[in-house]
Amino acid sequence: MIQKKVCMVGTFAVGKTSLVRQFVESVYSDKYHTTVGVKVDKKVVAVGEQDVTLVLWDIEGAETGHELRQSYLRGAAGYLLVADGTRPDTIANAEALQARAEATVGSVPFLLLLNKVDLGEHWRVDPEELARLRALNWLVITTSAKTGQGVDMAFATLAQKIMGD
Amino acid sequence: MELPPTIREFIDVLNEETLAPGYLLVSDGGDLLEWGGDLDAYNVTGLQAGKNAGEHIAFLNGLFPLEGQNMTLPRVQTRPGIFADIFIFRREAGIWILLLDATAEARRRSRLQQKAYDSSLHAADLERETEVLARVNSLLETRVKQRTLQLQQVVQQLERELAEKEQAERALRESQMRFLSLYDANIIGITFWDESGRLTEANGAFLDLIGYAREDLVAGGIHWDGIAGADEASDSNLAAELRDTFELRPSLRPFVRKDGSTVTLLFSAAPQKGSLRKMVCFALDISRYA
Repeated sequence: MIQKKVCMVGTFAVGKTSLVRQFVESVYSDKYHTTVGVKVDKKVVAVGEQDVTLVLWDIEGAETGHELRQSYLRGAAGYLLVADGTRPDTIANAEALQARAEATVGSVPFLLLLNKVDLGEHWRVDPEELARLRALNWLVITTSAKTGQGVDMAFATLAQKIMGD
Repeated sequence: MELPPTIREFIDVLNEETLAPGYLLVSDGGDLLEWGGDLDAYNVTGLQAGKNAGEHIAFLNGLFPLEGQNMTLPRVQTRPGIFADIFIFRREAGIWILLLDATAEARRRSRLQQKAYDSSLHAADLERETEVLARVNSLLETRVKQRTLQLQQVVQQLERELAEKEQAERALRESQMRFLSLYDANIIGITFWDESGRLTEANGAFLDLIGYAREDLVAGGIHWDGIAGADEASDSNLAAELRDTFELRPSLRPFVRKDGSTVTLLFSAAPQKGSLRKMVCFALDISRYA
């Protein structure tokens, strides 16, 4: 079976681990546990008529490109940039992390996930900033690891892009 | 570094005991050539020579062919609660992959990192709460301003109404004074009646006209039926008219005085303001001015 390495990249506490757990195990916990180093999971998804094993690298939070360890990214077929929609600084950080990822693995497919959309009253995504990122051809999806909103779609979309749509 | 063989040997044993080393040797393409050490500790099992390590071991996926001469993957969680530092380096025999236990270091980092991130998140929460409070405060200030403006408008309205009321009261007092002046001057007879026909108030001029004393009035002894004389010319009954209409245009009417004599008076009646069941009446003996 085809295996593709996918990295979860983003600032600390944006919900990378929760998104993976929701996607792989369909579970969610409100308690925040920091990720140290990297944790690797797998999940099989169907892309068209083909099954693909996504090897998910849940990488510890990094605020700047420099903090993102390149060796974790090596061999990635795609990556999910994760930001917290209630913390605008994590969206700004995503740009630096994307640049670092692209410098390491090249122009592989990626998506920006604006997570924690369930926290509606605290949502602080600047529409102009979002429009600017979309103008750069960034594909942006709002997600909630808590409710599951957008999660399966995000991983499926990335898998399709990795497999060449 | 030059070390005596005994020391070198001691370090080797120490490392073996504390770092639980495990290793793999793979070809440039990632095919398994050789393996050993404590790989079970890292959940690396079911190995077969010739199989591709990248396909069989998740954390090696996508790494082959190896870019460069070596690579380090620190603190990879290979099974729940177990972390390994993974060193990958190229040598003549192939690519070596060395796993050394990093669980203690990962736990130490986890504690520190959790503390630092919790503090950052707490600060972010506080910042958010401060912003929410500022928004609520701003909203309250706006509401207070609006309410203050409304209250000011109400106060102004009340002040206007109070001024109008004072003006009306002043006008009423002046009207009362004018009436009292007329009443007390005794130029014409003025009297008040209730709906039963009892005379409740009268000035001296009216009492003189009908020949009664003030004591009679106070005792309640003056009644309409007793003083309204019969008008034989018009065949009208003054008492009945007044009882029905509480109003009478000025006309000459006979009245019976206390001593039984009759006097004709120019008489008119009107309902008392504010009480339709009471009358104020005016009477004048025009024969005195003939």
